[in-house]
Amino acid sequence: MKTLPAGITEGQTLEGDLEVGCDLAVIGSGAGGAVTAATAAQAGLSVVLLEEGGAFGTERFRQREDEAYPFLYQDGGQRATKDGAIAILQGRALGGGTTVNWTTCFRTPDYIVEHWRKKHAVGGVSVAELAPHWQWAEERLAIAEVPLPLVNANNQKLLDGAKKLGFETALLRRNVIGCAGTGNCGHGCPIGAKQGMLNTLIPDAIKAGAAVLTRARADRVLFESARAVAVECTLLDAWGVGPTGLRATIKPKAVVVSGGAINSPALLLRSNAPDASGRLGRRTFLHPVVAIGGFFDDEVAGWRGPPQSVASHAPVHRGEEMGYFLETAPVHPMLAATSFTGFGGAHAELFVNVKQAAALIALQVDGLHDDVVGGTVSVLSSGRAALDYPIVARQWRGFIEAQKTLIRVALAAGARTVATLHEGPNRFSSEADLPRVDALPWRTGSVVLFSAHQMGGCMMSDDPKQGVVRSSDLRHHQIDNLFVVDGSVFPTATGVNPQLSIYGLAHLAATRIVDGLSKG
Amino acid sequence: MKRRGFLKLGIVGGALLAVAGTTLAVLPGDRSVRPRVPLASLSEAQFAVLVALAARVVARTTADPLSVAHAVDTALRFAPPEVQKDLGLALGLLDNALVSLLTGGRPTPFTMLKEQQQDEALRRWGDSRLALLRSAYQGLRKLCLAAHYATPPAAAALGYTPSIAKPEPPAITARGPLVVDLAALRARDAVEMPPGSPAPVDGGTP
Ligand SMILES: Cc1cc2nc3c(=O)[nH]c(=O)nc-3n(C[C@H](O)[C@H](O)[C@H](O)COP(=O)(O)OP(=O)(O)OC[C@H]3O[C@@H](n4cnc5c(N)ncnc54)[C@H](O)[C@@H]3O)c2cc1C
Repeated sequence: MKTLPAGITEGQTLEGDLEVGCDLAVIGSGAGGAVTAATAAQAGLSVVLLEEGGAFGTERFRQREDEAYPFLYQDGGQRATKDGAIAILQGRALGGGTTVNWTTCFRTPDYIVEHWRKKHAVGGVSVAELAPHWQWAEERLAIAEVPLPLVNANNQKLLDGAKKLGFETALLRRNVIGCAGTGNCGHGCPIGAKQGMLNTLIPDAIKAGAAVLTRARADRVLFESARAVAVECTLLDAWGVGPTGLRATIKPKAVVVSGGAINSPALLLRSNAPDASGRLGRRTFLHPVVAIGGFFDDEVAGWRGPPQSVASHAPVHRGEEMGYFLETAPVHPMLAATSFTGFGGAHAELFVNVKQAAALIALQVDGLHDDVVGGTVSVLSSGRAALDYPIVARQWRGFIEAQKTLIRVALAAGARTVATLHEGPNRFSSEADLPRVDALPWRTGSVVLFSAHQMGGCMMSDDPKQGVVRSSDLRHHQIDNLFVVDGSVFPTATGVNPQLSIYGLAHLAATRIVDGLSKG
Repeated sequence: MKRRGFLKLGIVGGALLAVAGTTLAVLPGDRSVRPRVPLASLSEAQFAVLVALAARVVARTTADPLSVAHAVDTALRFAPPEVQKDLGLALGLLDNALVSLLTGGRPTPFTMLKEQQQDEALRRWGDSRLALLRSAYQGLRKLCLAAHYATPPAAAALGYTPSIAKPEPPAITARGPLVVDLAALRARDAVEMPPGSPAPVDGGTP
């Protein structure tokens, strides 16, 4: 059997079908996959890292939304829940979501890890065990607090408003070296300052001998007598849309699925993987976001500077009600245009002043309450993934509460008008207006909601009746040489931006996986 | 009617689609707008409705509705085929006189309405009791707005310009390498840093 050379092979350039063997096939090159591939390659395993997105480098990142979304995001930036209610921003490129994310880094909060242990039988990973792996990631990815001069006007509004209301706030930590504040994290860093997987663990993996195959979509993992024996891939054209007609078959000793939430469960569903828990594809969480545009007299230019540099976790513990935390979103023309509601004159009249707008967001922590069970992934007849995510009453109540807080913060920061993202009358200019928030159309399709954090769907639990993988090394409960290492293993939302949670958990699991495989 | 589509259909939604399927030909709308280049995702009939819709969504901007519609058609290539199909069907529904009548509008196809009536029709969808119609309204509205505001001239008109000058990248072709090796790429990267910014440090390229 052939092997692939170390380095990047682009699937669209291959001239014939490919069949290669290796120790470890890793499917997906994002936070989980890149860490796993590098760890395994450095331990001497032969690794093939598969990625359906394209190998785009710094050169191609030109600060243009019309290039970034089609080529760097799932479904060309059009992914959404099945009813269209929640727009889902999710990466699809070499480096996965880390190529386009906004670089905010948090360790998983203690209360979340504790909740997983108590409620979901996650015994194999504790905060104490994870800590050295978080630290490893913090060092490797140069994670450090944002310097004050880089806090942009958008984040300054959040800081000012939250402080005035007496909320605890914090400056964020980011994975960058030499950030110049171009504001284009979401479009691929144009100067290579972002320490995403593209600039760190993927080069590390290659240096240690890993082969990377891009524009290769894993269609299914093949199983024989309870073992994973092959990964079948369709090679995609340079646009990443159509098949080239050629296929790649990888025959590894073990398989790591790292396609991210939604995609990893979809791959395992397409593969008819055993699922004793009945949880495969279930409990998919989104940190669903409600947002506002606060319009100020002065210029905000929310597209400049690091998109996120300030957060407030003050409202995260709300007992029976949904907790949430406050951050900002960058205000680029396309992203913002599709967020503000209405059309024609009504849209243009507001939008022409977008340079004065700050975008404040509230991220809801889903999965901690018994009735908030998240979404369910299914596979469409085309083979593509879909997510059905019903929003329950407790969540709508949480959105209303969060919406009020966002309006108050913006007003406290000095906003002249605040626009919510509802159809119909949605402007607020004083605290006295707040009761009107309850009367806004809180129903799918009448308010624009988002998610940039997809989690769950292949949840970990040491109880095979509750989880798809066990927690200690993220091994599949029924298939000995199959692992899932990415954000899909979280039993609930992480309550913070998830990337560092994934890096740490992936590094811990990969170390244990490599150990297990070397012992045979 | 059995349909394994993408949008979640209630009973009424399903009935609407059944109506749309059988009456499209009976009351044809205005199909005089032709695509400039072959379409990637939509049929010519769907495209004609999209042009009329785009004209209302990006009204009061500098956008050319035909260009917007072409950009939407191109963007839809990246969506799952099921979504492409459903949005195409939604455009058919929008231009269906009977559906319009059943949902409280005039018995006239969208493409034959006056501008103000078209705006009313869109608002009716946006405010419909049927989640299906609200969802279609949002999907089509967002696609048109995205197509316009993602273009560099529209972004520049709002004050957004890239902060760093970058050379044209190689064209994306159906075949052929996009990036051969990251090290060569980083070496070639001609980036003008704003004055005073620290030099980017190599993150460990092979
Ligand atoms: C716009 C945006 C902003 C964000 N901002 C932040 C932030 O500031 N801080 C933070 O912590 N998090 C942020 N996130 C989230 C964070 O980036 C993700 O949580 C993280 O990247 C998820 O890691 P993962 O390994 O689970 O999957 P991903 O990083 O998504 O990687 C999965 C990869 O697998 C590939 N893949 C999937 N299926 C297949 C298949 N069948 N075959 C081949 N390849 C496949 C995908 O194309 C993708 O590249 C942001 C995300 C987005 C989209």
